[in-house]
Amino acid sequence: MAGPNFDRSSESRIDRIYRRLTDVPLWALWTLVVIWSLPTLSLFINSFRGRDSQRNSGFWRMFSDENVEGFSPLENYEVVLSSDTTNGMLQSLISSLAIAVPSTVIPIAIASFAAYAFAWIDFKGRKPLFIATVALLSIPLQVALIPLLVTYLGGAHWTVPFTNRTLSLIPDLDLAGSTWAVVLSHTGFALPFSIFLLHNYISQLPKELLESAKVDGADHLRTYLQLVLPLSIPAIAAFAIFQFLWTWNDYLIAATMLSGGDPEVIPTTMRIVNLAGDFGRTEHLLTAGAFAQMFVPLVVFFSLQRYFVRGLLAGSVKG
Amino acid sequence: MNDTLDQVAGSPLGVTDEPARNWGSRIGGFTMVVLLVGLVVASQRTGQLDRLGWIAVTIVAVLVGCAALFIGLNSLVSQAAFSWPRYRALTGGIAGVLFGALLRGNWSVTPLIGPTDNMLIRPDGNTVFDDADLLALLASISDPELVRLGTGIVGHVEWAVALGVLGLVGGWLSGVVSARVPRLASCAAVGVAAGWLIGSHLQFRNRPDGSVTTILIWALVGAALGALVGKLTRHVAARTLLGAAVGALVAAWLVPDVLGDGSTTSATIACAVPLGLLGLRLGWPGERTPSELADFDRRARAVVFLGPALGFLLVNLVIPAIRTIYTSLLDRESEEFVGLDNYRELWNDTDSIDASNWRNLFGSQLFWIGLVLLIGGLLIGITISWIRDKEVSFEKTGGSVGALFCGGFVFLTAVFATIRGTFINNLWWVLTVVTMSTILGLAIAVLSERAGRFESAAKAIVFMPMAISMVGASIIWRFQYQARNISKNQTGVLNGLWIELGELSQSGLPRLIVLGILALALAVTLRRIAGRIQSRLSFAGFMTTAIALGWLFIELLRRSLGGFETGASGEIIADTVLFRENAPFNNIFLMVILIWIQTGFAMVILSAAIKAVPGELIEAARIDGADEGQTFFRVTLPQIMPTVGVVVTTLIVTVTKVFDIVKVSTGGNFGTNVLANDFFTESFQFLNRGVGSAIAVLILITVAPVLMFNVWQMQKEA
Repeated sequence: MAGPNFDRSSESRIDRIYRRLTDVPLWALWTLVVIWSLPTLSLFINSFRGRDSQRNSGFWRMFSDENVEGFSPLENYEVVLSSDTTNGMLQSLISSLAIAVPSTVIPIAIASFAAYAFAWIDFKGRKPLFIATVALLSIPLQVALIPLLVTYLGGAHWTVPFTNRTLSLIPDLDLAGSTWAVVLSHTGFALPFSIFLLHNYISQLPKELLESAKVDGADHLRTYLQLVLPLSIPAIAAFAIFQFLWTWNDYLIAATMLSGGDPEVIPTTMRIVNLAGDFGRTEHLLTAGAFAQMFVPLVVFFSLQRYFVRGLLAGSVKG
Repeated sequence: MNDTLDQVAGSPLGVTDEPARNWGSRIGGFTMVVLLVGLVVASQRTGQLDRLGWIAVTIVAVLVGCAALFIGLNSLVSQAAFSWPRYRALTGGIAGVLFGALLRGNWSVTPLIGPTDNMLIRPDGNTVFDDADLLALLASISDPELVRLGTGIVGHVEWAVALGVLGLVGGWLSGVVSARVPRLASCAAVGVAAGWLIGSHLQFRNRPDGSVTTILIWALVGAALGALVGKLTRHVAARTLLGAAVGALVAAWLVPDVLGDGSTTSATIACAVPLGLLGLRLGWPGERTPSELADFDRRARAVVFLGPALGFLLVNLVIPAIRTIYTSLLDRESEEFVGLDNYRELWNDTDSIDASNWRNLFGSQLFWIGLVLLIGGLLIGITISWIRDKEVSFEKTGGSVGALFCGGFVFLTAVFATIRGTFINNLWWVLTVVTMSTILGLAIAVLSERAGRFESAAKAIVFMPMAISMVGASIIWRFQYQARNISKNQTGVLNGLWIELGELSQSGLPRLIVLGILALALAVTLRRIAGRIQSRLSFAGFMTTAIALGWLFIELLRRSLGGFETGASGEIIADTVLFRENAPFNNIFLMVILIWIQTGFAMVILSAAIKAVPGELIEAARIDGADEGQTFFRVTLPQIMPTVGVVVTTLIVTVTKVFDIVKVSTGGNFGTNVLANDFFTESFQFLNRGVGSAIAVLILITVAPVLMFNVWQMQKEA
């Protein structure tokens, strides 16, 4: 076989066939896109099919479904979105919200002050302290989970080294198994990242702006509240969306802090895992349940793509 | 990296930013409103409205609390500029209140005016009873640790108020008295008064039995050390006084072997001496000069702005991490020190690394294919460069790089599939997911450039799994992997394809056809990517790679995945593939889930990097006669290499910590365990805190360097 040559004027038949074949990549793209969407699509279609249909045939046979009298395609969703404690997920959806919203608001409230201080207050040891804070990004969740749980279970007690004296630094607040344990854990894990992200943004605000505020007699608090905070809304939004989805989608922290606790406070991810462990009986509800859980992230994704992608990419450094 | 972020933010997934045209966000916003209203209505109907209300109240409370905290602390600092005594008085008062609460909260002191609580039960079991009635009460309770009697909130408040007032007075005096000697005297007097108050009310069991001589000697030692430190920092007097206070504190409280049994006098001395010295220290500095005040203001603002965040980090992240490292050296109940036994146990466990089957490696087709590809690639590369330049170099060897890469990948896969265990699984995950996600992400990023106006749609679909939780993704794929008895309709998509369309395993002809198409497609794609065929040899290289890969694919499908049965007379009967149960390749099917999620991430970052490559570079390459493939491999790819590095490191971290997918899909059974899942099982199901912590530390050791590198890279470019 002679090596085809790309001079178009003397194109041989082989070259023409070859050029046709080189259109393959675009087809490859669409093939990949179809492969990527098929799993979600199949789940989506199945979530509207009845128990028997789901159990007896694949989603591609949806048109030959034989449903019993009075079947409604929304039946699965009706069960899942009810407050029924065995199969319903409404309670856990609210629990997820109760975890995700404070876990987003508290880090922003605390971290934006710290980010401002790192960026614009000139104090001794600023750089090393900032580097140390950012280095905390590299601590994986697992490393802090057990001691955190122990603290939430019984408070923090410090045995003074070389003595037998124990001091209670944090009293037993009986947090384990409550939403607050999850929220506080999320806050701790989110702080290095939020400080990092907000600092990167706040430190790039124009210097003249902040100096003119200083000349006008504004102290740091006023500068922060009236100038820096409104200007850093884009960064805060990016972080908020990232953090909201992270906490909404989290399973590890919730499973650690809430297992064995009050079933009322477990979030959707845990609820779905529990449903999934319940082989056979409720498997047909899993489709609708998973979609109810995914719906919020998907809406956020499609409506706020700009901030979402930005926050998510910046979040790639999170431990 | 920040540049990349900005480009991504400027045009994420190629969507226009103009709000008026962004139908996605309009529909999304509308949906969110509907969602919220629906949630309110639904929770109202089902009696959950109070929980929604709780969320609202929480947010308001958090915001108000934060505002109060920060504004309050800031105005406290601002007081310093207006009136130094007022600032000192306020800080002294706050410190006193906190100290009082701590003392009483630890049940160290008896109530001041309330009824005496004569019984105390500490977690360490120390109990003291003076009262017969209480003794009788205690006898009737089986679990005395749970009992705490006392005066409740009143006891806390009275101590907080008392010490708060003393702090207030002391602070005010330290600020307002300008002559040094009276100031020192009054501050010391307040300190002694506080010490007397505490000492005389100490719980019986807390009274130290120290001697005055010891306290004095230790105070002198402390003072000497303080003076030495002060010499370096030019605050000799202040440091000396602080050193003396600390020395006295140590002598009074930490030197005696046992607390308790001390007399009221010795307790009072043990409290009064250190606190008096502390008063002296706090009274030492006089009026501040304006420049000192400005300096103070800056430092105080930094503390106020940073304090809450850093405090939170310390309590919720730093101390727990240190404790985990420590508990990894303790036994399962965290009681006895066992050194590195937990790590040794992990290392020696056959569940972690099991190399007993290493001989099977030589029977594995994957192994030989990988080896052939590696050697073949090497030979082709050497030959091409020899023919072309009469020297051995790997810089321009086109196809053989692909062969080497594929060979290495297949070879390692064979090794990981033979030598089993949790550690190996983690390595395998890293190898497969990182490689596949990066390559697929890069491929989609490049291909979608040509998709014209459908570019953003294609990217959005590929990126969408990033928004879904890993739990949700695992559920989605559970329905793809489902297998039913062969005689029934399949419900899983993949087994549906396998059984209803293919039955590849049954006859040879379809397999041959598939192999042919696959090899052709692969060869064309590889050739297209690599550009013009430079020699017949390199085309041969592409073909070898492609055929080997195609063959591998078919063999993998036929043999390793199951999906067939051998009948009575030796014929092969098609069967369903048990994707989640058939070890070791079930691991790959779990990895597919993460690849499905992470490819979108790689794609978006790499796509932004590709768009950022200067157009002139590409133009210049085109003018020089390079075709698309050459331009990509010789110009674009080297340009985006740093970004590829970021993607790879980020993926390594994500993959090392993978937990949800394994937990939901198999629970770590069928040979699919990974470190993070093992951590969860050991810590919370086997309740072995030692080994659990050791696994956590292993994850830390693996992840931290990569992340540090990543952060450092980002900081450098920011």
